[in-house]
Amino acid sequence: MQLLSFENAPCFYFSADDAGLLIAVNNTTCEELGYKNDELKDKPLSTILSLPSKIFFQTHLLPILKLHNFAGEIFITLQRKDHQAVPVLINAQREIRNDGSITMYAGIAVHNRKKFEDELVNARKQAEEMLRENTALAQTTNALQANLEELDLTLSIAKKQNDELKQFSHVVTHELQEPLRKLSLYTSMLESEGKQSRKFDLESVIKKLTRVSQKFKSIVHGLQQYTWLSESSLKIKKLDLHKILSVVEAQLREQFPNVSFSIEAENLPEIEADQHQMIILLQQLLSNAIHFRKENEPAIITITCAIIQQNKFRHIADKYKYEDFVRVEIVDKGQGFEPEYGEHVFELFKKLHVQSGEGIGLSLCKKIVENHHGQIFAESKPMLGTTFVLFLPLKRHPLATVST
Amino acid sequence: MKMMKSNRILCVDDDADDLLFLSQAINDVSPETEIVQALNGIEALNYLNEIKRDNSPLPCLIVLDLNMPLLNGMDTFDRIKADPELLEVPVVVFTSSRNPRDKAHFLKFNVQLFTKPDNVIQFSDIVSNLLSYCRSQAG
Repeated sequence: MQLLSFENAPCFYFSADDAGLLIAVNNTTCEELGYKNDELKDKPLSTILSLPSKIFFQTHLLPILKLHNFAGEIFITLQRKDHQAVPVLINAQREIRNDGSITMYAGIAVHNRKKFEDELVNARKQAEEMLRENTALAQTTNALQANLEELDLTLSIAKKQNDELKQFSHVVTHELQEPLRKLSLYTSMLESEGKQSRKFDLESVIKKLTRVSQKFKSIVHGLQQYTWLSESSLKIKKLDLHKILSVVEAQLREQFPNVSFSIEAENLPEIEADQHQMIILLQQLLSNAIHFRKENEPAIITITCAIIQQNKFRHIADKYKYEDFVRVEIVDKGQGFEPEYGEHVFELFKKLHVQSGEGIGLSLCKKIVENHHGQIFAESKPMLGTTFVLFLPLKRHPLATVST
Repeated sequence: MKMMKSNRILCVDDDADDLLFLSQAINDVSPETEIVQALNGIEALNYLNEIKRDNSPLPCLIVLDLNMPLLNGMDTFDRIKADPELLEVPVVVFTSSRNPRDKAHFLKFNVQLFTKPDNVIQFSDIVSNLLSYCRSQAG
């Protein structure tokens, strides 16, 4: 059996003395580095080291060897005769002998590993770059989202104010016109007293004039209430709707002392809202239901609630953010109204029934609901009753500190 | 002015004062005319349907206000139009609205719109004008 020869072993194997001169160099090393067999003997070790490795050798490797007599997994770059670089991973062992010490070096070329390492480093750099870009993107997306929410809110407010202004203008130009005309008519009657064939009963004309000025007063009062709702800022706090309902019920008993009515409510949640406005809201809706009950029947009103998720974006298309809303349904079996007036019923001074009051109650309700960024709808059929559906957010949005 | 027989006029208006005024003004011009009052579209349609059922003669004229609760003038007119018998009855609109669009809307159906005046003298003139649309009925 042939003794194991290190000459042609598949590795670099060479030794050097303390002076740094090569003592033995195996065949593989010579071949890999492009030297003939004996070319390297007695030459300085630095001959086969690349420049950076020469420096590394002196500053790092030698000191370690002198200290520990061993250095493992050291990465150096050898230099071929034609100056090409060869990346090598070596172990070095120093042996102290009688006549001095020699250091043995054994290693393998790691071209592929170097390539692999370079690729890893590159990949890591790219990943870090992507992470940076991602973070910046995420921040931009968040900022954009916040901007969109604010924009949608602003659009809501602007639309609401526009609607209210339109209603206000309508009231001033139309609702007030009729009383004005009557005023003119009756005063013309007084003027024509004696000039016309028919005599007007002075007393009745004066009564009518008084009535007309009352009508003016109530229209202006209604407008004042409507305006007041925009001017006051909301005082938001957590409200127990059951408690609010009790307060309202007590008010209704006073308002309708001889009327038989019952209000059933279940599942009323806690909600962040303005207490004063919520009381007005419920009071108006329930008082309406009682007022327009069927003749000779008690008013029976049921209130049910459900928590739902609704898209908080009202005006920007294709944007979605779902928040908790409470859907409140207030149902009565009273006189109802023609279904086509479902939207108009919330207009300022709209009267659908003969014995209507001033007609501002429901427009106040709509205003209050919209102040809280909710919605209100009405469905009805004559003689079959009316259902009011309200959507109110459970929590007050932090952006929405502007009252409208 | 056309000669009018004793006839029936249906006045539809939610305002009691205006109804009274209108009735008195009509009777000043035409004392033999019978006046039926309805406070809104629903009442008016109920009355007309009752007349049809009893086979009584329809009114020779309907004077229609526009802004009324329960069922307003436009919607009432739509329902009258939809009924082939009621379609025969002439309609005039007597309203406080000065909106030219309202006038144009009704002109499309050959219905005149008169604006309620703010002056007692104009009232009589307008009422005379109104009455000229009254169609005398046989029997």
